[in-house]
Amino acid sequence: MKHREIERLIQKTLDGEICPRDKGRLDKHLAACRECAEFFGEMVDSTAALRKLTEFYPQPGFNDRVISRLGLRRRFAWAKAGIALAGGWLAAAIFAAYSPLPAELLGKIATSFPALVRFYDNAAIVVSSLTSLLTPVVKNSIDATGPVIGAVFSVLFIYILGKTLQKEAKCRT
Amino acid sequence: MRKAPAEIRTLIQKALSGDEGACQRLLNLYKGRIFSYVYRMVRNYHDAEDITFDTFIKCFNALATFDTSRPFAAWLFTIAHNLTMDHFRKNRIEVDYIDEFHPGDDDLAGDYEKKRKLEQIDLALSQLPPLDRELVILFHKEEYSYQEISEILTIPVTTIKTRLHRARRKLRDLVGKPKE
Repeated sequence: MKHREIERLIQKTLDGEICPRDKGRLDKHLAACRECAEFFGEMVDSTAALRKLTEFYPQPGFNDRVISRLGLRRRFAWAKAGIALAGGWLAAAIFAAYSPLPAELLGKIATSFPALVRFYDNAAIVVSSLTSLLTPVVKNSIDATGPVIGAVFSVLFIYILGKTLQKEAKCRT
Repeated sequence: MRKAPAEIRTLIQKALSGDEGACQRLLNLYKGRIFSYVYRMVRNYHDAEDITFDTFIKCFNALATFDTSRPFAAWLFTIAHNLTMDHFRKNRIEVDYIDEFHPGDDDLAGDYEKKRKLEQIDLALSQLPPLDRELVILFHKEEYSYQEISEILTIPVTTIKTRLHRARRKLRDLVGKPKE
């Protein structure tokens, strides 16, 4: 067999497309021809080495650059804004509980809007009914319930606001 | 043609809904392969990084149009190939072998010969014409079939076969002794 024909069979072997008959012919020739066997070995070695080539990687921070460009990081900015707003809400709740100023403001608003007074009166009935049902321990610490309720609502507010803003950020991206 | 595995399809769905974690996972899975391929094509670290970056941006922006019945990696390679060709067209750069990414000096003595051989292969690869180099990488390193390569590069299978055979022969000649 000519070397040209052998090289064709070697290429077929490397392509993974050699048929059993051609493989038999190739093996027979390689066993008899040292030069072709050496050539075959070198071809196999060089192509096999390609699979083990070093894998290169981009600089650290590559993922962050891609994510930032895609705008997915906006979600974090929104979440931070949510936390800041919730913090403000909590501070306002504490301020409302301990400062006389909000009460004065509320009084002024109430006198301007009679409907608010009616609502306040109805709410007061509900609150006093609930208060009478509470345990003596809670009753005794009734002064502390304002800030506690404020804190609970603040946590709920943080959670709901965070979720809403997360959804908003997802929709934007 | 192989289709995207279930795990990849799930990640794609999550990435489409804006899940940053899924995008990170896809990046971690493919950035090495894409970057290595591009780097071996352009032989310049910064250009390779820019092309890889653009590949992923383009990929994520067009993710909604990706047909999940097709292999995701092949799609990525298609984008990377097109951007690499654009880069060649724009810059007409000469292939320049950079050796700053060769294995370090802390290799074990026993591994030295293997490393040297791989360096030799990498160097020989860099001396092939860009298309031949691309074919060798896609067929032997990435293990794509002729049909898949034909779809990635949009060239006929017969051309790929002829050029790959010639490229393999040339590679062997560059690495070892030329056959008389």
